[in-house]
Amino acid sequence: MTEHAIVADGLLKRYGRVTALRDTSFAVTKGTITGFIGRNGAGKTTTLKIVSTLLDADDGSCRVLGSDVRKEPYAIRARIGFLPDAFELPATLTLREYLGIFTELYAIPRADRARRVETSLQLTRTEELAERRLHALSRGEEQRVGLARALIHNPDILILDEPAAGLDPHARVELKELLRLLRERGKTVFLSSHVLADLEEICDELVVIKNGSVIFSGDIAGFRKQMHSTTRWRLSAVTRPIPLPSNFRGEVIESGPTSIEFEGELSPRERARWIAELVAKGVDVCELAPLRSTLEQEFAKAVEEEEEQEVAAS
Amino acid sequence: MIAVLHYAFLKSTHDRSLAVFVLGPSLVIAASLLGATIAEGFRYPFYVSRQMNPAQNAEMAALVLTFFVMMFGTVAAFWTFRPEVVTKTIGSFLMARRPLTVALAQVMFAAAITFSAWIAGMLTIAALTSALPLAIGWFAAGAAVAALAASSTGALVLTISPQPAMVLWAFLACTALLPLLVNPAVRPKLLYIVPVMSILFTAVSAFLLERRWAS
Repeated sequence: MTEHAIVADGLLKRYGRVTALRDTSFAVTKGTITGFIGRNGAGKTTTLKIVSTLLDADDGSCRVLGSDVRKEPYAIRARIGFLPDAFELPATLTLREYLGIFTELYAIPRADRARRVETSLQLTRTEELAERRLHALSRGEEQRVGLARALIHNPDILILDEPAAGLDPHARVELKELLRLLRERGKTVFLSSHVLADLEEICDELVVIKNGSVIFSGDIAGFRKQMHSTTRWRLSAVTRPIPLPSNFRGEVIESGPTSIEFEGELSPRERARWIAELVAKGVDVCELAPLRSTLEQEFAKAVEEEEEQEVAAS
Repeated sequence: MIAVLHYAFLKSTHDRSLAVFVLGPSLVIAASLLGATIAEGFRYPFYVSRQMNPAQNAEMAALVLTFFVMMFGTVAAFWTFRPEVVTKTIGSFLMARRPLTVALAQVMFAAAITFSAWIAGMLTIAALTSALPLAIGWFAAGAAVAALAASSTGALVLTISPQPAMVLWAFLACTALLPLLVNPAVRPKLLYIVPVMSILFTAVSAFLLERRWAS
């Protein structure tokens, strides 16, 4: 049976007249990396704050590791590491001093403190920053320091709000490696991000939110299925122009001198038959392969579909 | 609470604000005594007025010191955690500790600084006037009350709004308290009222800290 680290059910949150969340329900499976995607203002940060016990929902319930966020906020806080989208570091402290303070704050036994600091430094690859004061760090270094702090008490769940924002490509690769490593160690990671290509690479599950409502919660394959995605294919050949097979069904999207891209369903048997037919016609086929649509395309499609439904309903 | 105090201590020693808050009132009182002494003819021990004996001069200086100690204490409570409140970084503390613990540590740290500043100031007065006020016990109790009032007011004002101008309200509150502190009829009552008021202010600060972070 699937164990859930986070279960939100019918969350409602209003700021004055603005409804930030409406009937928001989703679940995050234990030991997974779950991406949380949505446009700016969709309700991601509000949801993450409710999950992290920082904000009370007006209605609905949320359980984190089996504990109710309203009834046991402090028990939950002890088991989660939260990295907000924006934070500042105390400029005059060294990283080691800073992490040392948090080992005290989390009441880690005195004998374990130095080891915990070292583990956090190693995990986030910040050993070389340990004795440096925190005033002159790059955005990527600051983010790693924030992660080191969020990991200091060895939390079961890591909740990250836009951790990749402002990171250079190298820092993003390092962040993905770290998150994978944490998953291997059995941690649950729930993160929001606008870098969907990165999420697609590392996430097991997705929660998609639009205008305060969750429109999808589940694995990425399920999301593609829900979007009824038709696969895009590429046919490349040396021969010019490339003739289409006799029983071609589908829609040509792009047609170049050495390749054609089209959308449609193609079974392995059909694929073999097409290649045989083209070869028989003297075409030197290089490739007939599926091109998966990106998560970004799927997300845009999901949002468009929702908007169309809303327009139709109104 | 020790962890938050440790953090505040590390931070304020690194940026040297601790030295300013502890030694600032001593420098002000030394400058005042020196100024008064030079104006009426330089001699040692220093004095506020030539007509008073050293113990009376020390008592006058101690009154002025209490006022400056309260002002510096208010700023210490407001200033030490101001960056954390402005940037909501205080939230990382609240993930690990309850808001009341954080607010209490904030008040205790500023109160400890304020009382240390008073001790440093009294040593300065003793050295410059060669005397201590006769009712030193009452002055010490008054300083402790002043330290509590200043630090809890500074902490409360910070959580209401971290705008620098807000500290003026805390100054005003302290200025209003000072005449009461030197009034022998009211002073004993303040020893009970101010701690209760400080507890209340600290509890409100804790509530506002959590609200501010969540917003």
